[in-house]
Amino acid sequence: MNCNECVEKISPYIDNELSEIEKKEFEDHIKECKECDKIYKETLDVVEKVKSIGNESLPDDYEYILRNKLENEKSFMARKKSYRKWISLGVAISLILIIFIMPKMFYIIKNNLSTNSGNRTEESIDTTEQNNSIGVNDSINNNIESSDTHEKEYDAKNIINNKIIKNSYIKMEIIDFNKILEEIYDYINSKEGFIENSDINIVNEGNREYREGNINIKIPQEDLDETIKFISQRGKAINISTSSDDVTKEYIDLEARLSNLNIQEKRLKELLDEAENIDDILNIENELRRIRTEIEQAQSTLENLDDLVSYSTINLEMTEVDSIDDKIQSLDNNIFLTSRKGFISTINFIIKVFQNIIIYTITFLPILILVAILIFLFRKKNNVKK
Amino acid sequence: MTLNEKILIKKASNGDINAFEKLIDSYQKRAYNIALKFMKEPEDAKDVSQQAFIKIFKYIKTFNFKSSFNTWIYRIIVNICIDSINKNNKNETYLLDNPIETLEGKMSRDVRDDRNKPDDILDKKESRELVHNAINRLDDIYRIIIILRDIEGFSYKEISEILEISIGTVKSRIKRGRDKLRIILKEELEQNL
Repeated sequence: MNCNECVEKISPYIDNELSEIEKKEFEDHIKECKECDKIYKETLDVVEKVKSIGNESLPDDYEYILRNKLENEKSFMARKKSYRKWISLGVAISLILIIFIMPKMFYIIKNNLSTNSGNRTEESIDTTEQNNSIGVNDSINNNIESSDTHEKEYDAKNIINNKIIKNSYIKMEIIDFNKILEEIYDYINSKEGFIENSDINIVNEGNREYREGNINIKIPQEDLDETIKFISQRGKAINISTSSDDVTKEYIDLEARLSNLNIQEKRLKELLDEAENIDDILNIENELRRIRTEIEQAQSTLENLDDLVSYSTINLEMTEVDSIDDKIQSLDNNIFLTSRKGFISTINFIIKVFQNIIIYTITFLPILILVAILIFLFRKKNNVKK
Repeated sequence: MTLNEKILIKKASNGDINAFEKLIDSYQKRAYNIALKFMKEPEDAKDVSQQAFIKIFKYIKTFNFKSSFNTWIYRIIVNICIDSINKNNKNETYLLDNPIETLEGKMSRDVRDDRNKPDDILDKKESRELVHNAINRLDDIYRIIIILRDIEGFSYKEISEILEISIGTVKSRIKRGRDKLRIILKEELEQNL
């Protein structure tokens, strides 16, 4: 054993961490080497001195104070625990909300930009509300009453033809949109009605595509009731309302005015034949022209009214739904296919969410870095202050 | 670890303070003394060791029964001692020639010189203080290892578990710590004689 090895082993020797052989070697060495022996003795002295410091007993109030502190800690922990529970609950809920709402929001925003379907639904809600407030029965009753009074009036004047414009509004839910739409079109054609205007949208909801449509139908007035019945039987009618506008008086006025104008025209023509003075002729011709225009206007208005009266308008609003009644449905044959679809779409959704998270993280990375730097600087400043 | 200790740990992790007190009863004195040797001031030692026990109470749930409870407790105590010493050093470092500012004006600092008290050297109590001061002049890593080994008498293996270092490192640190202490003590004695 050389001196270097010996010096290394002084401490383990003192601490009795050497094997028997090593001990023996060590003891042999320090017997011969005075230098190592000196270091050994000094180290031993140091160790003895340090050991002599010994342990002191605990202060008298040590356990009492510790007990108090422990009790404080316990109540603090209990409070903190419940507090933490709430916080974590809140965080979890808001996270879930964010994750679930964000894609929906995107969908809505996207849809608004591309199809404006959002506005349309709002409008349809407005109209239904109006109709609801009037009420189906009330409006019909009112109309019957008012037409009754009108009838009396005109009966006295011995006028047979009542001119009434009828408008209907139907809002319904249906299951197979395309099939029912075709049926309705066929029916309208068979009754010599026509589609004035139609607007059909596709709406994505969950994993299914739904159709909704707004169709203006013109149908001969005598077929109106039948048509309403036919359409409303195709699905679940949520709202059916009919309104009538009695234009009989206006119509008769116009007719009277038209006959007056015709008489006037006839007289003017007679006057024109008799006229000799060029000035008179010109004046009469001017007057004739004016009367002709009026006649034409009145005639077209009359024709228009005739059209409106003979063809009633049905404003049909249809929404496609999964089911329309509360009966227990028979088990869908495609249950596994559907659930597979749902499963796949959920997985796609999760992937999308993660994609979004990654995209946002990267998008906002510059801001995050900036914030981190600011926080770092702020902390540093605070530390310096301390 | 005895079965009794295991039961007490389970109870304490459910918030039973009495069980916890029983559990730490045999550790308190040693913990206090480690802190006392390390921090020097009795008040600091009390604070730090109690802080450690509160931390142990708080985290006793996380104790896994595979490791030794004994060394786990002392590890926490040692870590808190080192942390608080570092904190104190950071916060309370001041220059001796930097005057203290008071309302009445500036005051120069008067520092007690612990090294030169020739009259008391032979007194046994004072000699103990001398050794204590010498220990306090060691770096943290050597100071703690000397305290654990020579004052508290932990084995090399226990020390390696408490400080989470290898037995080889324990050996070399003990050697170096003692060498440094030897040199410091020599210096002090020479100055005092």
